[in-house]
Amino acid sequence: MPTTTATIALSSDATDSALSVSNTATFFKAGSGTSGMDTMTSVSKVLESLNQVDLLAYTAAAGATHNFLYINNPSTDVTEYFRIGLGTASGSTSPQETEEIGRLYGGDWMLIPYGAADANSDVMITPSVATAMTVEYMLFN
Amino acid sequence: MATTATLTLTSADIAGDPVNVSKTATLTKAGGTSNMDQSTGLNRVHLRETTNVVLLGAVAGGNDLAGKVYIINKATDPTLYITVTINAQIIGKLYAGQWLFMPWSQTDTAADIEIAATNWSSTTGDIPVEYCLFHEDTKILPDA
Repeated sequence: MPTTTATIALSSDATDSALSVSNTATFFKAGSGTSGMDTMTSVSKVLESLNQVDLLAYTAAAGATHNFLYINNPSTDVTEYFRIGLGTASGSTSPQETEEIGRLYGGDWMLIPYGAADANSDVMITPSVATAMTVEYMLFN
Repeated sequence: MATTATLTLTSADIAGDPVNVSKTATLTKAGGTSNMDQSTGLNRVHLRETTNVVLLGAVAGGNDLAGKVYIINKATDPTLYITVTINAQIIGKLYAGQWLFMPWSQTDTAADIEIAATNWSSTTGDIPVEYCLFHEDTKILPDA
């Protein structure tokens, strides 16, 4: 079985005593300590409008498995951001967001487990500008 | 003053060629280059609630401000997981040793981040969870 690991190193002097955290997660399938996730999707997309779009559509198959999702905003402009949320596409031109998770500004990344819990669990993304913003993501399951 | 988060994502064998991603984010206030200057510090709780409990409570003043959340399941039993939700919407499950790092918008006061030890039982033992919030909101007292 493949072995995929994600290590985070957090370093901060925002507090008087500096914070330093390092942890490594291995992407195992649900409930397994030995069987590694063996499927990967890696995508780079350029978005050229302010429209909210479906980055990842919910599927029952995804909901039945355990997934990790990495999203990166490679922009070097710190004023440009993506709104990342969970929701559902109610139509081809008017997807509806159920809940915004947060905003990824230029240079930011995120890594979350993706539950794909139900039909309202599409990963939705909305660019802050219409001038060709690139988003990168990887899905492991 | 700076806070950085570095991700190293590697796999030698999930694809025909190795996967190596390395990315460092410097945590700044929304839309600028000023460093994020507030933090809860690292916290540890022992979870035994099978239903959602508030880990980080959203406040109205947090909307449009930057926030970053780190959560890790420190259990060692690979079958034990926590379910992470935002405003009752499931984000996903963190099994033993797994972590998440994500932005948090607090778009409204319902955007609490909640966790549940979904498959905890009296025989499994508590699930240790560690978390940290970095943010810029001067109105938040993020102890849930």
